[in-house]
Amino acid sequence: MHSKWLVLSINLFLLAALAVCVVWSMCVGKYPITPLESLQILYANVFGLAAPTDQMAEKVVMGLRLPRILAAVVIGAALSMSGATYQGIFKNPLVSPDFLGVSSGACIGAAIAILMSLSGTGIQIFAFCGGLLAVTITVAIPRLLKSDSNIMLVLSGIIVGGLMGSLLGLLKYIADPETQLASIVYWQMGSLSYVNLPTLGSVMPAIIVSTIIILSMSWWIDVISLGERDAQTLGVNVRRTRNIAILCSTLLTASAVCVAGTIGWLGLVIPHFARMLVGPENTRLLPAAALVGAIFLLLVDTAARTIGSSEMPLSILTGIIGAPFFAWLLYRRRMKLH
Amino acid sequence: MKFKGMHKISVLLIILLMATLFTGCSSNKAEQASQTAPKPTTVTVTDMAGRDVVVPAEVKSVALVWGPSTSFVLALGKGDIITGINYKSDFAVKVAPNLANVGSVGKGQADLEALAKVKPDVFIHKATDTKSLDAVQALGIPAIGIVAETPEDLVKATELLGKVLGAEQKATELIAFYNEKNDFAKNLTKDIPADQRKTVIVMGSELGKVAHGEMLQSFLVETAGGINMAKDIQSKEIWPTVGTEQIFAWDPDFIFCEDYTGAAYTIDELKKDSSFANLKAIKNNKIAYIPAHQDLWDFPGVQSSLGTLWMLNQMYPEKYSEADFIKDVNAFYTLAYGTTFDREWLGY
Repeated sequence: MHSKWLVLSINLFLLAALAVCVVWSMCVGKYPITPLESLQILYANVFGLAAPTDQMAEKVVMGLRLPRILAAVVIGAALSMSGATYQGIFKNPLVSPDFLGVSSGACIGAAIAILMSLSGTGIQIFAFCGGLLAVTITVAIPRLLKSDSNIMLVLSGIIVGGLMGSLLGLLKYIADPETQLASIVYWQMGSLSYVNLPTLGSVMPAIIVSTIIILSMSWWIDVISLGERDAQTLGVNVRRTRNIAILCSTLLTASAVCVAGTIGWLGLVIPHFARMLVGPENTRLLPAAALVGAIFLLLVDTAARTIGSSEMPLSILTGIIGAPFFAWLLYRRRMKLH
Repeated sequence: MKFKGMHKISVLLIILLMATLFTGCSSNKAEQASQTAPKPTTVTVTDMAGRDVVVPAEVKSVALVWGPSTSFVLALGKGDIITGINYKSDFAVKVAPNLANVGSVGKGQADLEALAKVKPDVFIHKATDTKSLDAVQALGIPAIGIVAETPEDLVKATELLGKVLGAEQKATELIAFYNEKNDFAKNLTKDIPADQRKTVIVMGSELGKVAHGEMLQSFLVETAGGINMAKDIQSKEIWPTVGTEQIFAWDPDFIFCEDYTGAAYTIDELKKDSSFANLKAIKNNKIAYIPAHQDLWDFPGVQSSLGTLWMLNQMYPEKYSEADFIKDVNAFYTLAYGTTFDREWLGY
């Protein structure tokens, strides 16, 4: 059991690390700007002063780097919190937005909206409905089979994920190759290259509201993860709490998908890592997971935009780092059990 | 708390004040400029995505991340002002040696920060990718969208880019050559009755993938007096898969193949294949790659008239001899690049 003070200092450390990463990321990129200049531009813009350097540098810092950094932080945090919540609610360490089919469901919703020539809010609503539909089916299959084992939920996630994958393939097949297909593929791949502040701003209300609800419910989620009977004796409305938590974490994932497309692994691995740091209670886990997720995605996205002559899709990097890391976590857990 | 609120409001007011000051300054400058300089420094053009774009009157640098746009810029004789490119073919470096030192600013999509570093006067990209176009425009780099899927569009694109890059005369000449050669091919073959026209399929990078009627390759075939067997295939896909069985059922007179480096088959393999050996085109040795070793003759661009002429010579050598064809190829390269290229090097 971690002490309260230790957890607090870990969170403060993570917060400081995030701040350092943000400043560092602000200063690196292909456009040659010295770190000092970047910070001057940022300072000047925040306080409404005239920027000291050339206009292009200002556009790069304020128009390209800043939105991407903010988006990486927000989406990293949203996906990790979403993953941690799913893991807590389902009492299952093997689930995550991608494994439950939520990401691909959201992606299909978005693809349908693209095929219907909707934009902005329309895509968001469809993405959310797609994600919610996918998670509902995933949860319904074990119930129909009257099984509540961890493996059954994972298998059900694989079934839904596979179905969604094929549906997405079908949508891509009927999409207009010149216009619609490119945007569907962009959603599927995961990238923050073209993020701008209006897009990010449009999903912020959903992200903030869901985050507040999830954080304020984290104690109840803890109680539920102890077992439903215990929760009921403690006066927690299990079904309602669970449904609200699922709704909020699905909204978080769908919002993330709306901005950056599907980014794999993060929602699964980061909560585990955060659990190692602060322990399993959701009251402590959720803030820590959000911070670690933000740092992780920021580092990955900064790497994606600085390494190589053209940008790398994020899922490639999160997969290369996330998959071995998850294997290591499993190994470590096994060693502990022995 | 109250003080904090006041503070925020005052910061907001300062920002607003600064903003009005700035806009005031810039509009003053613009007025001054219009009074002193008689020559306009910018031109507004409507690109093929329907966007109005303000470009410098004299464009001194251009960046590209989409393959087909390169052909247009090179043919217009503006290879020397390219400062960012996605892929440098040997051909591109030969006609514009400066490209050897030019770096990438993204593949297919713009790498925005790399592009900001290069800071070209214009960015030329496909009109369908409005996301890239808008993002580049937001950086203050004029972004021109072009469409080059049909012959009409590629003429329009040549015209537009001629205007943007200050090569209007060259654009007019290239378009004249393009139209003249297409008309020539059409006229030469117009009296051939339908049942005597050569039947053709154009095969993509995999066996069984063919060019349907909406594709540029089909236009080349039909202009050269051939019949594209796959012209009625309804597909939104580029290079739809019809399968080898369909190709056996068609049994065309000619098979023209796309010369991709990563193609899943080679013509030599097909010739050795016992089942393919029964095809008319293979029996009569009427299967060949569309020349694209260097310049891409079946890609959008005015050079695609050479693709038509090549097919014309392949299908109807009695009407259009090899010597005539070589003369036309040389005429095109003399017009576009002021020089001719070795036949073997071009790969025809």
